[in-house]
Amino acid sequence: MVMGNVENLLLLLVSLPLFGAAISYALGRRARGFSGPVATLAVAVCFGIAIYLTNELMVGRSLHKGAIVASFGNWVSVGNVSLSFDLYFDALSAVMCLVITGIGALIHLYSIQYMSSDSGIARYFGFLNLFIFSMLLLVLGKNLPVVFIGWEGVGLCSYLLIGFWYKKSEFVQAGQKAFVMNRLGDLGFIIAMATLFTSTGTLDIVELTSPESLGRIGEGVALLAGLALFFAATGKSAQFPLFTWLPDAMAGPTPVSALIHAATMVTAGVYLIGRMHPVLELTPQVLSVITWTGIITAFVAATIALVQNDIKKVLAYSTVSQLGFMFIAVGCGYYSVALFHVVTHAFFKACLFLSAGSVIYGCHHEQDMRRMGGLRNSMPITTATYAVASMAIAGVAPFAGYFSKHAIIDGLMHTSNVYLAPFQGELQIIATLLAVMTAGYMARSFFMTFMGTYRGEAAPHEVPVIMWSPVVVLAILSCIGGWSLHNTLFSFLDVVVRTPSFVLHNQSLTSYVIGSLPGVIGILFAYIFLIRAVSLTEKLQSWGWMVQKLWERKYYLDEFYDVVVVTPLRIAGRFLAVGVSQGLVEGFGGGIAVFVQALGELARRTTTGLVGGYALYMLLAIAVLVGILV
Amino acid sequence: MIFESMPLSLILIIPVIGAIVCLGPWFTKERDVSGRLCKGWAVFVACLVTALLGAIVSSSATGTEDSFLYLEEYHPWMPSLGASFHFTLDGLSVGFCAMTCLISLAVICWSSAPTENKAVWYAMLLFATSAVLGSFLATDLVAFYVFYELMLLPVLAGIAIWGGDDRKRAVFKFLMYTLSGSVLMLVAIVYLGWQSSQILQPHSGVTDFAFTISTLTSLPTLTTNVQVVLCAAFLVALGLKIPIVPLHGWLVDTYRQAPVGLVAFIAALLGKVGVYGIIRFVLPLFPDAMSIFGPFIVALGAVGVAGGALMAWVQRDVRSMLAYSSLSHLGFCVIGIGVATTVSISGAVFQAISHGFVTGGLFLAFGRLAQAIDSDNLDDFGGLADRFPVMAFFTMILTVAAVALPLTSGFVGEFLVLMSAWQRYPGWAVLSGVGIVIGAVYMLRAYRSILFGEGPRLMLRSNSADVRGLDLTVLASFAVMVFAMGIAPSRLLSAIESSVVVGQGGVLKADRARLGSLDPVVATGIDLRSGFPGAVKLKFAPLGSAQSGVVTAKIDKKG
Repeated sequence: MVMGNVENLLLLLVSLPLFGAAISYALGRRARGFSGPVATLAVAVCFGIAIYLTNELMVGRSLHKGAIVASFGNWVSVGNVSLSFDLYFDALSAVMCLVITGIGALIHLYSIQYMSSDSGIARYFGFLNLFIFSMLLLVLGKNLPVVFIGWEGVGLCSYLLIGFWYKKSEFVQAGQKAFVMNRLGDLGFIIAMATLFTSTGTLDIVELTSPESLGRIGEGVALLAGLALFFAATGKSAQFPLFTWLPDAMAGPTPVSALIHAATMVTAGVYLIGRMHPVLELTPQVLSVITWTGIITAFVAATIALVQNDIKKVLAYSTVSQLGFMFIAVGCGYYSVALFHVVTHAFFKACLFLSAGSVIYGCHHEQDMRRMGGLRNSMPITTATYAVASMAIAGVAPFAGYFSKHAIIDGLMHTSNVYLAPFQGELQIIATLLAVMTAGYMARSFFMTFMGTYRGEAAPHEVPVIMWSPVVVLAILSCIGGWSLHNTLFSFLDVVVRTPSFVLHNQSLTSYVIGSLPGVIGILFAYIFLIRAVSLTEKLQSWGWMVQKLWERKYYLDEFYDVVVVTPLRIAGRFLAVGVSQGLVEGFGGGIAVFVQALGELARRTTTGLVGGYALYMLLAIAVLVGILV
Repeated sequence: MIFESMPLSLILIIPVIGAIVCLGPWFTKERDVSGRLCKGWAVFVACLVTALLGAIVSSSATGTEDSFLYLEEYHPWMPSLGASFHFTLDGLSVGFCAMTCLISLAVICWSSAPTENKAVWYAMLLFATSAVLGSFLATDLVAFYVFYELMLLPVLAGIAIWGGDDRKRAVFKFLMYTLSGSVLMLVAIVYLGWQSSQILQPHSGVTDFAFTISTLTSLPTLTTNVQVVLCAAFLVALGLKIPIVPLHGWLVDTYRQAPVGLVAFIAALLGKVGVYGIIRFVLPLFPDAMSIFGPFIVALGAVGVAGGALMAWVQRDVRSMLAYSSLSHLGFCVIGIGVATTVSISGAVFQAISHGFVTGGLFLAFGRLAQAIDSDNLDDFGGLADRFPVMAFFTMILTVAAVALPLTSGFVGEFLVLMSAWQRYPGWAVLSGVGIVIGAVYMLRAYRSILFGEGPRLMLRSNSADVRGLDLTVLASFAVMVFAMGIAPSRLLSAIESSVVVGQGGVLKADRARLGSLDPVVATGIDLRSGFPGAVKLKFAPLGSAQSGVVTAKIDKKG
């Protein structure tokens, strides 16, 4: 393959964060001040490259079937398996790359101040850049194993960054939980690769999704592969029932939560399904399962978010819930809509997390909203950014979230999936209810944190400019990112994942107002119950304490796993180790041992020690051999 | 020149000479000769062997894409028995040999040698290296058997001298297990030799035994029943070493009692002889039996992967944990052997070599940390990352490789085995996939217990310090190997593939297919053509009575 400038730039885009990781880690161990700027610069340059490449793609220069293809060379090749480090930059990857590097650069910038007093800052930026590298590999891989490198790589970085403060054992444990639950999903990824490879003989995504390959995939294989891919996405994108790791992942530094556990990594599942959609479309029943899972996830997470008091936990559950929305869209077959929600979600959720980070920073490491309140006076900028982003996630026009969420709810009405079509009305009602709930818990967190009077002991203060400036950029994006990107994004993505016609209709002012209603209602509910009628809320709480308990304990899912999965496996392990290995196996070995013991005894009598005995035995054995043969 | 006439023997002789020199002062009652001097000498010898292997490889391989290393060396040993020193360095053995050289160099360099009898310690390691290399090179069954047994002597001596409190039991158990397997294998070898003489006699007119693999595979295949019996004997003997479930009873005791450096040596190398032996001898010798045993082997392998992982999970002792994790990881080699396709065998070999570096490195690193707090119990560790930051860094790399993350060596083998196993045994493939998931649980838990969290429950030894100097080099080389094999596995894989060509019917015909492409003129005294698959009438000329020589050949890929 002849590589031109564009191809080399694509390779540079991926390798730059890797070098950044190495350099900032090595430099940071000598001089702490260097690692942050170096790492930030690396990602910022990546963003520049991504913009350039996207532009190349848009104007249609250097196109190779609508994509830029580059390769680092051969990786594994043996027998019929042949894999290369191939990269593939098309519209879908382009959007993801822009989000990863753009939001990534802002969060890097924010981290410089946020982590400035931490002694492990070199490690922090090293891991963060390594994450960007893995994430880019994930969205740029041309074949599934290369995607898998990124897939596992982001899991590793997530693990390392959740457990960044490794002195705290429970933090590391949270990281481990994230890694293991992701790994469970990764098993699905491996199974999907195995099934697809067995039936098509290739793991290259472009070849896999070509009509010839798709024709070779039988019904059963398609079902298995589809479910396996979906299972992989379930783990990475924290869907029901594998979402419990994400709230625990909030143990990591807040910028990490913003970047990895909100804006980028957790959307990898949506990306994967979008990327592999031709395979999934072979089996519409799998797609309908995806939508239902999305609905369940969004509902479960939203209810839990309503009763959380830790500001980061609220955001974590809201992330799970929004990811559920994305899965709803994916299941309906509207991948570009889901991707649009990925983009807007990246704007407002990163903004929310960074604002929360500022709150935590300003309140001296306080995360409990019950000890906040009234912060609008001491932290005006953060209040504004949080408010804007909350409006965006609540789906109020003209903020960014309105456009994507509205498209998702609309999509339920237009879906052509035969397994979903009969439930169109019900699905739409549920989704609207979910939108109300979203607005409710977000408004609740806003009121608890910024309104009322301050209930804590610390002296809250606004954060320095290096921290609030990236947040303001994100707030502006949450404000205008919806309507400004709407049409551009959909027409750009149309080449890869066809854009449904209903999203391109020009919308009237009336539809804006009606579309914003769920959000407004949710906010009003929160206002009434929290500010106006606190006594009513308390009464409701006393009636519904069982429900509340259920929500607070995350539906006892962790306990369920502990009883149903972990404990039996550990018992099995102990049984195997003690019962089988030591009992049966040693008994079996013991039987032989008794048989041979006589010989050993004999040997021990003639020489001293076991080794001597063994030597003698071996000489005997050789003598016997010679004796037989000569 | 000696290098040209017996290059492979030289590799085996040098460490033995080195060991004897090392022991020299010990015999002359100058026992308190400086351990430093011994270590320096041992390091020098190990380097020499490694360099020699490198020289042989680079002078034999032409380096072009389509040709592969192939070097055969033959010396008569016991002509009346037909036993010979027949060594082959090809794509199958070269990886194992290189791993042996590097691991033994690493163990020798690693500074947790016992404080007493240092001369004996290094001599033991050098002896063991020679024996292990011998087993990886021998393509004559008698020679293989002899090296296979010799390998145990220094290892057992090492455990008996420097082992833990319960070492006697461990040594005895290990001995009993291995011996019972060896006896079976010996009987099978003798039968094969006798069988060959029955066939060869009418051709040559004299009673001749043949034990060389190329000769044996060129004979008419044995009846299936005979194959099954002999194959079972070989499998038990070699499976004990890997180990294959349920032959792993010796594993934990041996790993717990062996001294730190030695346990790394055992874990990294000994089991691999089993893997190598099955691929080199059992698959080509008993093709029909192996296709019968195939499904069972795969099942045992998968049970080993998942069961080993489960058992590793519940261990509180770091060495037991690593022992069961070895059982789990080597289960993939077992599956690969059972599936017996080009991809699966290549994956199995690759996994075996990768496991050597990963587990060897982990045993060295964790062993050092365990020495620092004088305990192997995971509950006694904690928070060591602060005191040992460099160690924490490299151990994380090895841990990640053990978890089989892509771009580390651990991924490639497991991926290839899983991909090839899926086609015929999807159920077992899923079971072993579950083993991978649990692998993440126990490895990360062990890492967390040791290096993360609050400070250790026990006092650190006052002289414990982070790795530096030679030890740092060792750990860094392990890390480099892990990434090099993970990022650029193709060279090694294509070397392995060149020696492992799977014939029709899914049965491996390693040597037959390859030797068939050799020009018979280069082969000294052996009509290698006779082994060509498809040759109907076997024209066999037994090995020349007293000829010795070296064969190098360039083999065309897929020739």
